[in-house]
Parts: sequence; C-alpha cells; structure tokens
Amino acid sequence: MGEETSAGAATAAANASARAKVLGWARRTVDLIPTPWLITGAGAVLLTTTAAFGGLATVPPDPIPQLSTGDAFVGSDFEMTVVDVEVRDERGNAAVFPDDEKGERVLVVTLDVVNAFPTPRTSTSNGLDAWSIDGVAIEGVDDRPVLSRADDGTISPVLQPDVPARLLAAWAVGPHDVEAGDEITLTLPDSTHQVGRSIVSGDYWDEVRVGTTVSATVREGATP
Amino acid sequence: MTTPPAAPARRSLLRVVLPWAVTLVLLAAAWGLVKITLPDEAAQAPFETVAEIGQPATTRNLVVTVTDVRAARGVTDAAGWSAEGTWLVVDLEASTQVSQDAALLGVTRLLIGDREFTATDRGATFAKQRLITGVPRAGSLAFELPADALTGTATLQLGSPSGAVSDVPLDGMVVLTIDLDAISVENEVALLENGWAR
Repeated sequence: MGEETSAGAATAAANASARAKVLGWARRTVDLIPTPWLITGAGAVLLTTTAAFGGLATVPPDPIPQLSTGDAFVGSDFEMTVVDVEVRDERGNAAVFPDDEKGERVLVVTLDVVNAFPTPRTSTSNGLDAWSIDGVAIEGVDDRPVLSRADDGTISPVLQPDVPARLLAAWAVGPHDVEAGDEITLTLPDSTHQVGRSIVSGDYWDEVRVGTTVSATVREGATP
Repeated sequence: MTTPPAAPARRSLLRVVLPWAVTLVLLAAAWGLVKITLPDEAAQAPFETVAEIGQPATTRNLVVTVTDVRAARGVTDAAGWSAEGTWLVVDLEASTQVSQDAALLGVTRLLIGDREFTATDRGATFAKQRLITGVPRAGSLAFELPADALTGTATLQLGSPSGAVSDVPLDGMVVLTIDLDAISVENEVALLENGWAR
C-alpha cells in the first residue's frame, strides 16, 4: 500500500509539472498577441460590415409593384387580374343601384379571380379588414366595392378553389365624379394567412396591406 | 478491500448504459404520445354516419337519402339559369328528425384530395334549403369544380348546423364516398326543382 502511494505521489508530481509547463507555454503565447489591437480590429470589421450593408439607416420597404390591366397579381392567396374599368348608366350584373334622380352612374371594375387556397372563400371579407376581393380599392375612395359575378349576377359569390370566376366590383358614382378617359389607380390587397388555434379557430387572413397598384383608363360602358 | 474486480466494472458499465437506455425509452414514449394524440379539433369533431346511394342515412336530427350523383360540363336549373364549367350534381331528399327550428342544409362539402368545395351559391339549388321534420324535401346540390378535379375519390359531407356557424361540431354528419372515375360526364344536366320528395 505504502509503495503504491509513493508511486502515485510521484505520478501526480510529474503530471503537475507537465501541466505547469503547458500552462506557462500557453500564457507566453497568449502574451505575444496584442489584445488591444484585436479589439480595435474586431471593431473595425464590425463597422465596415455595417457600412457595407448601408450603415444604420432603416431598410427601405420593398417597392409596391405597379401593374396595368391584364397583368395577374397573387395576393391574399387569390390570383387577381384587372380586365377592364368602365363607367356606365345601366348596372347590368353589378350589384349597386345608382340613384337616377341624382344622375348617379356605376363604376365597374371587371376582375378575373382564382382562389389559390384549397378551401372555398367568400369574395366579401367577413371581418373588419378587407383582405378578400372587396379589398380592391380605387385610390382616394374609401367606400368598399359591391361584388357580384359577371355572368349571372350572384352577389358576394363564394370562390371555390382553382375555379376561375369573372367578378364585377362596383361603386355608385356621382354624375361627373368619373368620366370616360380618366386615368385611375386601383390597389389590390395582399395579406398573410394565419391559422387560429386558441381564440379564433380555422383559417384567417391578417396584416392586410396594398399588394400592388394597377393603373387603368376608364372606358365608357356600352349602353344597351 | 477484497471486493471482486468485476463488480465495480459492471457498476460503471451500468452507470454509462443506464442514462442512455432511460433517454431512449423516454424519447420513444414521447414520440408514441405525439403520434397517438388526436388533433385539436378532434374534441369537437362531428359523428359520422356513412351513407349509400338510395339508402336513407340517419343522424341526430338529419335524415338524408342521396338518390343520384351526376357529372356534367354544364348545368341548368328549373328557373332557366345555366352555367358552363365542371360540375358534380348530387340529387337528394332530406328532412329533419327532431326539430325544424332553424334547420337548414347548411353543411354541404365535397372533399377531393387536399381541396374542399362547397355546394354552389349560384342558381336555384338545394344548398341552404329549409328542412321540415318528418316530411322530406328533394332537390339537387351542384358543386363547381376545376376542370381536372373529376378523378379519384370524393367525400360528400352533409349536415344541418344548429348555430350560425357552417359546421356541425359534436353533431351528426352524413358522409358519402363517391368514386368519381365511375361517373360518366354528360354534356349538360338539369338540376331537380326544389320540392317535396315523391
């Protein structure tokens, strides 16, 4: 037992001296590195990188794409294409009722719409935010349009997945509010799909924003 | 100090293996638990009654007999409305069994693959039809589909919600499986006029 202990002590002493040797070497090596320079260098690298990415200025938001009639736009999981903008006396299949005595007319935006989401969705939003097709707006006009199908006049139709539909977004306008030949700017909505888990359940669309602007020339509608 | 040398070795081996074994068992148990846990909506899921064409299917309040399933490239209704497209038409008779209070055929869903469709709101169809207790009404539901959707298997779900929501939580729902490949696609079909079943 005694012999073992002495042998153990010798080993431990040898280990300790070896460790001390390595530590001493490491310390000397570290001392060779000029630490203040390192810090200055790291700071310089950080500043250069920041400057290379535009400094501390705020990142400009992605520009809103500008489209014209006939261009397809995907927003709020709908594919929307503005086909035509016209002002007319007869409402046709549009679902607004102009007041003839005030000389009101109907401004109709014809849209081709495909629901790119795998469940049916209403074309008129069921909430405060207009994330659906009724989010199509004319710049400078606050009223939401009334939506109907172009072919049979169904009001606020449900849009089935991947089934194309031609819709009319209609506003009643004063006699000289909009004239044929006017340039107007439409905005199409975009939003983010969310799935409710606790308070609301199911799919909903949030963070409604302007997805694109479409400039169009108003046509005089055909009078039947 | 005459302990057999094997014992500490075995003990240290055990000390290495045991935590790993316990970790693996716990991981396997957690994986199994995740696998067998039902989805969130399962607690509210409707009770399904499987229907067959021509046979009445009965749930808590709703009795439905699907009499025919047709497919067409165009539909017309009794009032003269017509539409082109790809359509699946379901002829059915439906009544309520317990109460006709606010009883509409409100849930009319068709599931094909990942996509869900609802009976069309166009034309005059049996969608959202008022149901009467004990006296069946008859009519057609029409589903407007994309041109490529008439293949494979479809699941028809019918329910009469008691609330404003278009769903039947914790209530009965009639479910019919439709083999779309077995249905011949006609050029045009006429929707049945809504009326009393004969």
